[in-house]
Amino acid sequence: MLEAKNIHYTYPSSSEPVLKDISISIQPGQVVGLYGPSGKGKTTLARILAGYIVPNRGQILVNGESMPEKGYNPVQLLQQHSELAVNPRWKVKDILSESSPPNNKLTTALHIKESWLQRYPHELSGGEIQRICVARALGSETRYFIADETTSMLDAIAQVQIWKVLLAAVEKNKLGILAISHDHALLKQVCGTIYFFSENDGLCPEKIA
Amino acid sequence: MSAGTFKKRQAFSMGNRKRATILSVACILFFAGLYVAGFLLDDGGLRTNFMYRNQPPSFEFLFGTDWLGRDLLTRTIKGLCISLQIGMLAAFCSAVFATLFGLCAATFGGKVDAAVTTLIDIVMSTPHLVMLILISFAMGGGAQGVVTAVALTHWTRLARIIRAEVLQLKNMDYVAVSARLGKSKMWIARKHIFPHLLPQIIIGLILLFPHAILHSAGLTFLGFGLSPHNPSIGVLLSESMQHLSTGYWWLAIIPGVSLVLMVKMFDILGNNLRYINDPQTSQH
Repeated sequence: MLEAKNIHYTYPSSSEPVLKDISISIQPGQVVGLYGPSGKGKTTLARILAGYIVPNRGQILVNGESMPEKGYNPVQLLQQHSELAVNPRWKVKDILSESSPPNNKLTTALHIKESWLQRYPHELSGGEIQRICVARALGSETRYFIADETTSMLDAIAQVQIWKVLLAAVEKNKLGILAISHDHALLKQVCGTIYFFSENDGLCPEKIA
Repeated sequence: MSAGTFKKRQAFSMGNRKRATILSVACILFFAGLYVAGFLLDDGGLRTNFMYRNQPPSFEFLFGTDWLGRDLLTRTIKGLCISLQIGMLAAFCSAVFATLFGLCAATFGGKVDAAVTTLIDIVMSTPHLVMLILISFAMGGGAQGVVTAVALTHWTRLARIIRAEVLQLKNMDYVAVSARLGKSKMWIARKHIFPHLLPQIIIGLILLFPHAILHSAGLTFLGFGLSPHNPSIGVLLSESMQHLSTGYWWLAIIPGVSLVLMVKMFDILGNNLRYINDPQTSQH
């Protein structure tokens, strides 16, 4: 289980805390949705959960243990702006195999074409790079996947293709997913539990009708 | 020339990788040829020959001869060759300083960064030529004086570039992702950061050449650089001053123009290498 316990975080440049006493947990094989107004700390929470930011207070536990500082992180984050998450001097095949050699089934399911492999990131579209990043983040050691607006810049077909792959991983490998999105319809479609990031009370679970 | 205007011009006149590559190779071949020619030429042209004093450029003496009957073509080639050697050495030393200081400042941060930045500011704020003359004079002139002077005064710009580049690269998303994918700091430095830095260093180094060459010629011209026995371009130019008023124009114009051409070629080489090396522009 991926747990965030009583997380507090204030950005160094501001005096107001972004996150106040936030707790959330994601079970293996569970898809949790999160939505809420802009600027309330959804992305900050995502970055804390994936170990990009250390919270001021509170802790992140992966299966009861604190997050490993070195080595492959079982929690992988996928951001909206994936073109910043790839080295512009690397060819796609190098990007794909940064952690481990790419899984052919996965790349086929994501419709990553053979011809892309010899290209540089600037020769691909945003949606194509996003698929590459999904494939890279779904290494065999990934247990939890934080999708921060992952598919919001993509067209409907690409969204479906990527979510199909993610949900297949949930089924097969018991991957736990936290999906952050403004697209409430999408969250309703894919998530078992949805939280709303509210101004005053932090995370509120939303009943799914 | 700023990178912006260069890019614009590239788009119109040399908008392809092929042209940039050909130009770069041509420049490199020219420098290599000059270097070899400087070594292979015998000293015959440097000997005084009073039979042929003050000859204007002709088929026999392409660049003419000076007031002692020495062949100006030989002297110019030897002079450019010496300038090239001194320029390379000085630019190389500068680039090494710049890389060390820039890397230290960006990697250690805090007090080290503050110290290096202050040092850069101090060196940049002192008048260039005065520092060059002082250092060269203190080192006793000659090649070592020129090289030390240029190396100690020219590392600052490249150091700033490298510092900024490392600071920026350290905060890139793909570096953070790489760490989460289980890569060590050394691996990230080697695979993600260094490949971005290397072209900066090489191009910075090449763009330092013209400065180094011009300053070594300038120092020598002013009498603080190489000794008059060396037929360096600075010596040639400084000697020619005494003969300009007598109408021996070729003594000043030809070595001067050759020097400017060589410096311009380094500029072309540096900018074209930058163009080739950037994956954004290299495939146009």
